[in-house]
Amino acid sequence: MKILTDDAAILPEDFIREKGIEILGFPLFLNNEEVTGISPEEFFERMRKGEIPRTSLIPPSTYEKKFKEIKDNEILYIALTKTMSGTIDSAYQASKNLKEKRIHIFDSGFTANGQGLLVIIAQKLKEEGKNMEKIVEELEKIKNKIKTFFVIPDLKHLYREGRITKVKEIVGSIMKIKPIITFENGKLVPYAVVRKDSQAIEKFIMEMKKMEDKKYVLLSWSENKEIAERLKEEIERNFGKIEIYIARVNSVCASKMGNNSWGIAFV
Amino acid sequence: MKMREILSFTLIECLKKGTENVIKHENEINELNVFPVPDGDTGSNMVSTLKGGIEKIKDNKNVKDVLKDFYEGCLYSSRGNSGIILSQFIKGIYEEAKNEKSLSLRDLARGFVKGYYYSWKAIANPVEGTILTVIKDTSKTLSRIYNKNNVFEIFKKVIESGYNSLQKTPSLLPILKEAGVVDAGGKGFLHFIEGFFYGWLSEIEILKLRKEIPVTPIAVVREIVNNVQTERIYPVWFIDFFPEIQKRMKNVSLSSFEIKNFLQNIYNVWKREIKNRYDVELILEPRDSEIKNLEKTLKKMGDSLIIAKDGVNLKIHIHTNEIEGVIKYVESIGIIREKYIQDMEKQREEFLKKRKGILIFVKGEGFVEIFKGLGAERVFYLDNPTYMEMEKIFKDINLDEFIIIPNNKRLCIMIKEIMKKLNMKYYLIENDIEAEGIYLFMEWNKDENIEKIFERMEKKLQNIKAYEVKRAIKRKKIGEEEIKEGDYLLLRLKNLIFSGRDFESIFKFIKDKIGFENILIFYGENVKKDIIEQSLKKTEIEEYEIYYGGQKNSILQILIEEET
Repeated sequence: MKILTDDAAILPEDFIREKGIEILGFPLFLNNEEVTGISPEEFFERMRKGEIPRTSLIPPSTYEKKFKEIKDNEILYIALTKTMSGTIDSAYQASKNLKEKRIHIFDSGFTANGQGLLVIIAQKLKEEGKNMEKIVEELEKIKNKIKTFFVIPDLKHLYREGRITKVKEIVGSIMKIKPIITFENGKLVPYAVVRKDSQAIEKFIMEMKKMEDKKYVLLSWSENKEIAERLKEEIERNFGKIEIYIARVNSVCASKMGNNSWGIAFV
Repeated sequence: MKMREILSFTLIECLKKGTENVIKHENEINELNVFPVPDGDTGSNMVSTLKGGIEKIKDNKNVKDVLKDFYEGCLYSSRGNSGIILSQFIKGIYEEAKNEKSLSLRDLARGFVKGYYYSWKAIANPVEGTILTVIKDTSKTLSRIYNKNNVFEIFKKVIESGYNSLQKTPSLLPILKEAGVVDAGGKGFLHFIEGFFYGWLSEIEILKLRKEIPVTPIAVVREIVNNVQTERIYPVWFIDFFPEIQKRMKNVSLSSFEIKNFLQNIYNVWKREIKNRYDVELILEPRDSEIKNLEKTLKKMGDSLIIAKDGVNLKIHIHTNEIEGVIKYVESIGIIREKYIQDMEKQREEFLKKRKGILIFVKGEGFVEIFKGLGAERVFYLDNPTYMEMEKIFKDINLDEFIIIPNNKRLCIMIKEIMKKLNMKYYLIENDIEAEGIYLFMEWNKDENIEKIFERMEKKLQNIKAYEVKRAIKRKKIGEEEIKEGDYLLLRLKNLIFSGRDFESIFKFIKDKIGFENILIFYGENVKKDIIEQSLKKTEIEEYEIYYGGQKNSILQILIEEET
């Protein structure tokens, strides 16, 4: 069985490489010029200068090509949530033409860290020898438990594309603030605002304390790795034994979350 | 005024108007939902279903294709019992559209009847007193009178018969009667056809078929159960939702006690345990066209079973506790193309959850903008408010429990008195200035236990370093210090910390004696921003932010930020 995801998920580079996770890329644009595959550094720089990022759906043909390319007979595709994109429908379309393979399309219900975390867990379950049905069943349960938060200093990209609701005032805030966004029923909603990263860390730890039996954490950073390291230390100090992954925000996620975002998902 | 048939353009308008009308009433419908499971999502399910239909419609198509698109879109996005029933009703309309160019009243009437037939067939165990009854009664009316002359009158009669039918639902379905509500799906269906008819009449003068209902029933119930104010429940719109009250009120007027009891019953139905917790929807591509015992097998695993055919695929809907069992079985007979699982217990909890909020009072217009920019919804700027003004604010807030950040100690006594009078559940932070309030507000989170947030805020308040700068209005001697008129006074919690001749001396004191990582300055009504900036420059303070607060009682509020 092969695990496939799309790059709306955030995952550690080495994890992808070592575990052989297949990733489909969303077509990415800056000021309408296609820049798919651009390095994060260049992408962040151009976005900072005001170029407007945009993504488009992965077309069914790309899915079909990928599904065919993968040699395994079973494919588990962990997709960006249906509530934020129609890409999952492209995947369904493509899977219809490939009856010879068993393709399971799993709506992760998340994007970014949440989606990434589900990929990590799916891989764990696969390594434990579980079959696709069992993995999907487990993911279905775990998915409801995942909590995820992002610090998104600049909400304008999410706001411009209408991907976040109830933030009109925060977007135009007079004060310098860092909004924290969370996922609620598949939708991005504001959770809190803070002035400093340390306050965000405080809030994340507080939220983690509310969840019992947590095992996995996926942290993400985009331009300041130090913040992820600091958060990691705090988590270790507070919770000890817990598996922590750190990943860099990729360009596709950055195109929505803007410069300097960072975040966490745990379960 | 003919309009006995419509073209595809108007048909699209009809479908859009119908959908819009359901969207408009989504919350009301949700809040009536007690059957088959009180999970409060009937309205949302219908909206999701209809929206799916609208999205599928492409322009420039003939009548038949528009209806085909709409039906397929509805079926594909249909959610919940009511969604599937609705999509099957639409299938009937689609199949009876005989002419590609136009849809006639006759087609529509036949479509209603066929839709009625399909919708009853969609459900494994159809029950009277639901949306099905309303569909049945409106179809009967339409097919009886569709050839009358006045189109407007026809529609009006159909809607009237629909509402009569809706009023009847509690007497047919005990659980509705117990809760004292009408059926949610039935109401949603009526909104859909009402909108649809509006669309049909859109080229004629639009008249209201029915009066508007402004408030949702559960909002009223909550208000009464939590806070008896019986004089407010008599308006007609309220009675509309609760036929039981209507009946009894014809002869006697109910006492507040009786009404409260009655409404408590509605709540109790909502609080009843859900037998089958998960709402599972699957689109299945079966391996064989005929599946033996599909219905029988699934019936054993739950209830509210609906199986609908969509070309080669099957759409299966079931309420169950055995997700794994259902999925395993279904996978043994085909390939699952789509799957949605909702935890209805969670949805219900969400619905029954108390409404929480936070109220913020400020002393300057600048602070209104600042707090709103932080995401605060209820910010009040009142210049020396009277008791009456304050009372009005609290009477109108419509929250079950809330935190108050007054940013003004003088308001606290008044607030406490009003709270006592209105018997409200509140948490009052007794702070004095907005600079504190801003940091406190950042602790707010609507999903958290309000008491915990309040405790955190109280604790935090002790550690916030917030100062005020005022000017001395007369000479005074405090201890050793002689204060001259016009001196700048640096105060914390109303205590004098330092006094100086100008801004510069104040800032110098802060820099040398207090220390900071960053300072936030909020300036008052008649203060010039550039003078503050010049003084900061002279004292070589670089880490600062200046905002307009607009307060009248001080020149500056200063908040010291330190790295934690």
